[in-house]
Formats: sequence, structure tokens, C-alpha cells
Amino acid sequence: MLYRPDEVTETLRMVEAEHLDIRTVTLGISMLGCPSKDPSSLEAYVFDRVTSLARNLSLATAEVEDMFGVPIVNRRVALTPMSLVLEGAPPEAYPRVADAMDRAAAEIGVDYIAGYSALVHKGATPGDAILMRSYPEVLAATSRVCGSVNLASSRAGINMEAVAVMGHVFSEVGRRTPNASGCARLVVFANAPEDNPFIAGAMHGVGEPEVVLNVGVSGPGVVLAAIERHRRMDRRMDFASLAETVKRTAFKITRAGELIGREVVARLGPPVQFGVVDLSLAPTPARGDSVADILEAMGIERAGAHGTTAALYLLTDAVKKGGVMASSSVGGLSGAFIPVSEDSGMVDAVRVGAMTLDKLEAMTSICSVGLDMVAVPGDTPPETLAAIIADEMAIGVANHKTTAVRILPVPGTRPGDTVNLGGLLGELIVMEVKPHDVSRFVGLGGRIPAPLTGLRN
Amino acid sequence: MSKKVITEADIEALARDGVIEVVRGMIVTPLAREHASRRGIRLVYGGGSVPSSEDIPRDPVSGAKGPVTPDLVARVTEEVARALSGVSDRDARTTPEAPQDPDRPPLPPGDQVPAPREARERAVVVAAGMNRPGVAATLTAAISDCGADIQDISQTIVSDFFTMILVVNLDTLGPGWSFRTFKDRVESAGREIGAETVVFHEAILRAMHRV
Repeated sequence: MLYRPDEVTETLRMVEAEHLDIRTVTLGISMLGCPSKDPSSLEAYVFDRVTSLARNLSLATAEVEDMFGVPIVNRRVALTPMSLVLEGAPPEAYPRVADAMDRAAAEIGVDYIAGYSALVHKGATPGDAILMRSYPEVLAATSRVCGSVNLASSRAGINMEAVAVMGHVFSEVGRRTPNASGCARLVVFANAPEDNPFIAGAMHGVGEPEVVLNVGVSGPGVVLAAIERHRRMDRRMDFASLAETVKRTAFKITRAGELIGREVVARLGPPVQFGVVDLSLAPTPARGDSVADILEAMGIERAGAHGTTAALYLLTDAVKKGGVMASSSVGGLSGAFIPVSEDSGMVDAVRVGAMTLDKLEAMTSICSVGLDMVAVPGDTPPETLAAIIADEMAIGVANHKTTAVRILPVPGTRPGDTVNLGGLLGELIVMEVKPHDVSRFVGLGGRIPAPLTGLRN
Repeated sequence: MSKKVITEADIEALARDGVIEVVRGMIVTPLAREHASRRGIRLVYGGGSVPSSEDIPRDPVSGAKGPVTPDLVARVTEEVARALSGVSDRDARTTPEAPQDPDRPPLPPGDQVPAPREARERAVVVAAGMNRPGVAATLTAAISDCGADIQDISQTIVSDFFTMILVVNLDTLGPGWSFRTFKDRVESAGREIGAETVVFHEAILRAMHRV
């Protein structure tokens, strides 16, 4: 027998009942070859290059979806951080290029295009500063453009001046877009990976080849189902067997992800190369497709309760180990995502008060990203937003890991209010922020030095 | 005997109708193999040694093929068995049991021509539903209409509910058929008789369940 019936039905069950899908295939395109700093030529270059290289992305993914029966939920495009391409161009070029990105994404049928980004972990150039200050205008005027700023690294420390700027930027974007939804397309990082396929932090790093396809696999529902099956069948479930179950499942998901990614690359043809599989457990608002539900299946009554950080550690570590055995091309963020709004279990946990901003912050020292899709009242001072960002950057820098903040200050809301963003972005409960003043600390200026462990040579 | 090394640059030049026949004395580099698979070019190994149906002499009067001699059957069976066990023609000759070619020392590991299995396209058909006469017949008829060849069938019936899993070789798909049209044809045939039918490419099973 070529395949045992239980192997065939397991694959079918994962796809049909447990939401196994490829969360995203993201085409990274280098923009470093742009020959001009003239706004019109920049606009034309960006639009033409994206539309010509990514033209077949939707068709190729649809064909592969059909072939393997595994849904590919999103197709996205990531570009070289635009601050590098635009450095030296006049300030009016910035929004025009963002508009060209928006139009190109619409033209090829992708919902998000990322890379309106800057890398300022040690300091900002004049171009970086223009780009960061253009976010409120750009995010209000476009619907598909995503931006990210790398504010800190374990080698350089934390650029606190840029952190302070981004506190104001988040606040302003929150005011200028309905329900602060523009903030969902803006993220700040410590140790940003150059090959992350996930929106909004995707970018095509400077160390990447010309055109590369990265795959973000998902599957919290599959892991959840595996744990629940394991619990039903084996009453003596202990931590080792729990980790083993997650590892095996992550292995299978990753193998499927790499196969699908390579098949899409084969269809797109040169110059597209296969990049990485990012084995992040990325939840969706769909019931059962939740990381919080996995933590609860391990025996924690509500995500956010004491013990949550330990459970998340077990999960993230086992996912990485299973994935690394399955593929030699693992990259990106690779771990467990805990975006609040995009995970129905997390939303429930916030609603009943089990999950707070402080607990989330503790969990970000373990998970793959950070404070992700968190809503706070719109009248939160920009300095307090900057301080929230600074805390998160410190966790990343000190632990040599990626951390990020994607925070939505929603105007006119109070803690406990519900904000519905719709679609994949889901529903948010506004969280409580401490009222104490931190503006003197945030305003000290300069850079927090890199940790001793950053000096590894 | 001199050997010809086929590199990445040679692939396009050697391809005839998307196929390269790899014969004795050719060494295909791993990069070239990758390049071929990227360009959708199939490598056919041991070219010429596998008897094809065209090799069988036709009867000049009736046009029928024949005669099928015991010797021919034995040769075909041997080739098929070798292909199925994943051992290429060349591997078979370098195994200790097989007679050694005096001027061909065993190849170092890593330089072996991969098994022909690499080039094979298979689909898996899963059908489930209430058992009724004609389910299997309808599915297998739809599969053979497309020219595909069933390699494995397993079926379970629990009370009135059946599940059927077929592994189908797509290399023999008739002209004009693609994976897409095959999938549509078989899935709709299954659904017409009330069986929920799903067709997907075998590679996903191999990726998830075989290391």
C-alpha cells in the first residue's frame, strides 16, 4: 500500500476541518536598482517593477492551491525598505511612491504591499526622518500599503529618539484613520528579520536576492486538534508528550508549506527564488483557529492566567523544533503569534479580564512577535505609547529576539470598549494603560546602549 | 568508456519536447537536475532499454500487436519491478549481486542517478459516502476516461458508509488532459453518484508522511 488510509485522512482532516492553510506567500522584490530620484520616475519604476514581477502571483498560487487542495489565504508583496530607495529624493516623492505601491497592489490583486519601511536602530538619516513623519498622511491616503520601522537591535541598542517619534506617529495615524485602522498597517521592531513574509512587518532585506518567495505557514487549528486528540486518547499526557505532539504536527505543516512554496516558485520561473518557510502559528478570527485556544487546551482555564507564559514557551519551542527538522529553509519570525484582535480566544480572554497589557508584555519575551494588534484609548499620550514601545524594544534587544509593537490608539474609546475592524483583522477590546507620566524618561534623547551580549566578536 | 557530464547550461539544448533521455555514460549534475525540474523538463533514465509497446512487431495482415513472448513479459516485469522499488537501471548494475561492468567502477555516493520515481506524477482520489452499487465502477471509469492508471485502491465499509482511496498515476493521462481537468472530471463523477470526492496531488502526502 502506497499510503495508509489514516495518513490520507489525516491530511484531508487537517485541511477540511482544522483550518490548515498557507497563511501567506509573499514575493519579496528588490528595489535597489531604481535609477533616479525624480518623483515621477520613482513612481513609474515602483509601479512597473511590482506589476511586471508579481503579475502571475495570483494565478500561480491559485493553480498550486488546486493541485494540493491546501488553501493559500493571502498573496502579498514586500519591497526593499523604501527609505533606502528614496534617500535623497524630495519630500513630495514619499507619498507619491506610496501611492504607486498602493496602485500596483490593486493592479495585481494583492491585499497588502509592505516595505514602506525604514531601518533606524542606530540613527536616522534625513530620508528616514521624512519617511517616518509621512506615515499619517500615507496610511490615511492608501489602503494596501504597510510600513515598518526597525527601532532597535541587539548590536546597536535602542534609538530612543526614533521611539519617541513613533509614539507620536501612532497617535496621529490613530486620529486620521477610522477606528485607528491605519495603525494595523504600521509596526515597529527590535531585531526585524529581513525575510519575514507576514504583514505588516514584511520587507525585502538588503541581504536578499533580487526576487524571492517566502511562505508563511499557519495552523493553530491543526495543533489544537492534535493536542485535544492526544488528551482524549492518552490520559497520561505529560509535558514531554505534549511537546512531542506539537513537534510532530509542526513538522508536517512545515513540510507542506515548503512543498507549496517551491511549487509556486517553479511556476513563477526565474528570477524568482525560494526563500524561507516561516513557521509561525498565525491565528485568524475563525473559531478554533486560535493560539489562545491551544494554551487553554493544555489546561489553562483562560489565556492570560498564571502559567500562560510557560505554556506559550512550550508551544513556541516545540513548533520551532518540529519545523527546523522539516526544512532547512526556516526563517522569518517562526514561533507563535499572539495578535489580540486576530485571535478569538485572545479577545475572549481580554473581555473577561484574564489578559492584560502587562501579561501580554511578559508573553512577548517568549512568542515570536510582540504586542500585536492591541487597542488602547485614543487619548493615551504619545509619550506613553513611546514608553510601551521602549519596553518591548528592551525585551527584544536584551534577549536577541525579534519583538514588535502594533498598537491602535482608538479615538473616543475607554478601556473595555469593543472596536470591530472586520475581516482578518477581527475585533478589539480596548485595554487599560497606566495613567502615570513617563514623558521625562522618554524625552531624555539619544540611544540606550546595546547590551554586553551584543559584543560577541 | 568516456562519460558526458550534463550541466545546467546543457539542459535546454538537450530537451526534446520537454524530455531529456538520459542514457548510459551521461552524468547529470545535481544543479542541472534542479534546473530541469524548475523548467518543467523531465529526465527519462535508461532510455532505450525499457521495451515500449511500439517494439512489439505488428502482424502484417490484421495490424494487431504480437506475439507477446514469455521473454518479453519477463523483461517488462523486471523493468516495472525495478522502477517500483525505486532502483534505477544504473543502480541495479552497481549492486553487488548484479554483474559488474569491468570498465565502470561503482560510482561514489552522491553521483548516482536518482530513481525514475522523481519524475512520476501521481494523484490521490478520496471518495466517501453512503455505499451503493456502482460507486467504484463510476470512479474507476472516470479515471480511465482520462487515461490515468490506478496503482493502488483501498476501501473500507463501515455499516452503510464507505471510504475509498485510490492512488492514480498521471503520467499516462491522455492528450488534452491536465491535473486540473482530471481533478474536475473525477470529482464531478464522484459527486454525481453521491460520494464526496476530493482529488489532490500525491506530493503533499509524500511531504507530510514520508521522511
